Amino acid sequence: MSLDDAFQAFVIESSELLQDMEDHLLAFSSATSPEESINCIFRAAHTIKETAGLFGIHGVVGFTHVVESVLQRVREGSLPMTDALISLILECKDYISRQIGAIQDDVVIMDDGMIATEKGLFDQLCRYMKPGDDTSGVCCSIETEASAGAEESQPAGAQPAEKVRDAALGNPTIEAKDDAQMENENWHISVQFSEDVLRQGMDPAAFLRYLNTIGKIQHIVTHFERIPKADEMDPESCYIGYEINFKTEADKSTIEGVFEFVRDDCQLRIIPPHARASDFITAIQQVESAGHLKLGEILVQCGSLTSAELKRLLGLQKKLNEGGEKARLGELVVQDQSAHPEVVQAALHRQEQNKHTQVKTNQTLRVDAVKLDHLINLVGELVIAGAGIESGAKELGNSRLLEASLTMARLIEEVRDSSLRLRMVQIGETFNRFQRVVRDISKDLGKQIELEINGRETELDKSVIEKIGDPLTHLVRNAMDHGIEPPEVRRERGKSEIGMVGLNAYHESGSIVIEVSDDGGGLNQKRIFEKAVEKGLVAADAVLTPQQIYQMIFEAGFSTAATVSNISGRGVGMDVVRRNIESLRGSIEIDSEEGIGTKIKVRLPLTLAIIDGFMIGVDESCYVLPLDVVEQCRELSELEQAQCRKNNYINLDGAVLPLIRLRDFFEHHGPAPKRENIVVVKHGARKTGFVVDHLLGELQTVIKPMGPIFGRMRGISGSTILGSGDVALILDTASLVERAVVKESSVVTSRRLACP
Amino acid sequence: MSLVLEAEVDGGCKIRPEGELTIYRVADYKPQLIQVLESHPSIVVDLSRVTEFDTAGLQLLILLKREAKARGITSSFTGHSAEVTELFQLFDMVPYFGDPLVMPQDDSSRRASV
Repeated sequence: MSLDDAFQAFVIESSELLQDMEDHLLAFSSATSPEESINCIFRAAHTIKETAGLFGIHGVVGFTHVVESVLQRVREGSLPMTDALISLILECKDYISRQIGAIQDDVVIMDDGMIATEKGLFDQLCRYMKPGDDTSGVCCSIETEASAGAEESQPAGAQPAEKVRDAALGNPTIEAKDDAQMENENWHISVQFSEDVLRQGMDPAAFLRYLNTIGKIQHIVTHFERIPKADEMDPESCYIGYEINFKTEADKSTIEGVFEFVRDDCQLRIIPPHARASDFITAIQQVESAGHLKLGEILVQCGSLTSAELKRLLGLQKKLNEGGEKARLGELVVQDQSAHPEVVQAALHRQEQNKHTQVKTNQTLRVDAVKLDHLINLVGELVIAGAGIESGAKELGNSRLLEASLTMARLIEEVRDSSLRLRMVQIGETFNRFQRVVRDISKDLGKQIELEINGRETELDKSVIEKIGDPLTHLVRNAMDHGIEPPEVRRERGKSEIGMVGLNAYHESGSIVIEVSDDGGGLNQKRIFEKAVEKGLVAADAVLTPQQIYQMIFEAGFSTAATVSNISGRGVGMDVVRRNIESLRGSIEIDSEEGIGTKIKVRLPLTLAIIDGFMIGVDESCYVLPLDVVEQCRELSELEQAQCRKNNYINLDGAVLPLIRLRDFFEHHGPAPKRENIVVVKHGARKTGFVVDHLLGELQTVIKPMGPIFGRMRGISGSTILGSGDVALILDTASLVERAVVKESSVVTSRRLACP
Repeated sequence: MSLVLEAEVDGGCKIRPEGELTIYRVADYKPQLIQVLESHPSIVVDLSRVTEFDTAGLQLLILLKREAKARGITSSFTGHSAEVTELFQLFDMVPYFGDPLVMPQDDSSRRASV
């Protein structure tokens, strides 16, 4: 990996970490485990600092360090995570991301604005700092507590002795963790022999002699309290145990090896010297792939715990668990003093960390978008080729070939689906970004607004997700600014002062629906209509359905807002939203009830590349409809045929069904067949019938975009190549249905106006 | 070998274990020692003839000391042989017994006895 690549990786990683940080910050108040949240936030800041340090980007290191110090205080519990602090950290997060964005050749290029921002944030952060804490911005990752060194002053000899005695009394003292202090310290070995040791020909004294060959016994306390009363005492039983303060360079397993012969006949505890804690922690950092290792295994691998100890503790854990207690190995290890709490903590952290990355690598794989597009393209070609084989087989009438081609068609379909799924992304991440938007805007607006998110796991094509962000932001801002009333008004109306903005996503008949809803004042039909008349968009006497009135807000330059805020109200935007959505072959519906709220439904196709199509024939040409929109197909009776020529609608199951004769619409002049068919198509809540000559059945369709020349053509959304090599046009049902409904209602309206 | 009992003045008793004071002998010694405790107001143990000494022996001495104390009998240990001294030091039991003991002058002689 070249330095450039590494730097790119840093930028990507940082943005992920910052996003993580933001997510945790925003969810902090509702987090199930605030400690874990603050840890995540801290870790994110810390990792960014460390990595930036690797690249020598001092600007980022310096600032992040201060943030980290404040977070450290929160983590220690000496600083509460207030709303104000959350906001501040959020701002810091933004600033860090700006810094990273402004890096050029290891230097953060700061403009005046950034310098001012940094100073402002810095001053605010300082208020949360402990006096005397390092704010100089120089990298110093290990903060030393001034108090920790105080215990140092005791003579080195006295302290261990006391410690040993304490340990012997059962109140172990494992204290202060300053590395410097620990240098003098030694191993602590605690042995309690079982009664049979002497009878088996072993002498506890021998182990002491042996210990003296691998190190030096600094101090020993012999236990003999277990020797029973004279008449009960069996002189051949061993009642002795000892606590040893042992100085050695040997590692834990060597020490354990000393007691190998009595391993099963004694309780052995080897407590590493404090100085070793940091060694173990370093070792733990180096344990590869700790994610799938159990905690105990990590501790064994780094040498903090021996396998024998682990076995014993696991046994104990099992026993405790059987007894109904819930014992965690980490806690047992610490209780047992087999390892330092810090070491266990580090191991746990390491395990967590690796698990985290493991989960991530298991879940996601970064693939170049170009490669993916290429694959999808190939699959598209495969679909076409498969269709060619199928139609060829049909023509030949060879049943074996036909069968084989059908099997292949099924496989191709699966390949197609799964390769398309590769591009599918959950919308949750996009939605989560709005937490921040809502938080910031509601503060600006002085309204209390909460965001409710549903349907996070709904998937849609990545290319769609990328393009949906902006329109959604617009809709959400609009809902907050115009939809949700100010708190006073809400109170008057008897609503909760806290406004609700909802984001929801779900699948519906082959498309994805994204809803932006609010519980605000709703759209004022009258006002929109007046405004539309004022703008000359509609005639003053026009009769419009509510839907049609609502659609007015998507007209360019249309705004009913009395005041223009910096958030919305300028009248630009909604038309951009519509354009964006339409470019994705989507559509927008509005549901609104005055005083109750508004719901805007954005309907988008699941994918832009391949669809299951339904082929129909008109004259000599073929057209394709997305299969999901087809409700039913039926033959048109002669009566209906006559009726539809006259009215352009028929009665279908008791409802009026507007019709479009594709033959007329696309101006085919060939001879009409005797019988015509009708395909009932549903778009949203509206149904329309397409009158066609032939029904040709289902096929998989690769959508090829139309050239720019045809860009403005209505009713066609793309083309596809059939197995025979012919080109079929894909119908844009949304615009066709719209057209039919509008045409029909205008006919009805004009008739109503003509004969009152 | 066995315990050599020497009567002392004031009804006190001096005992001198000879040879091994180890796991192989403690079973024999224990009842004898307890008996001594029961019949004498004070006890002195001469350890000078102990040629081998191990943890079992140490335990027995600890028991003796403790039992004596419990019964209000004064007990003292004298003339520690090198073997005894070494083990006492190894277990850091010298302060417990509280008896003066002659430290071997020559370190090498001690090591040779180990």
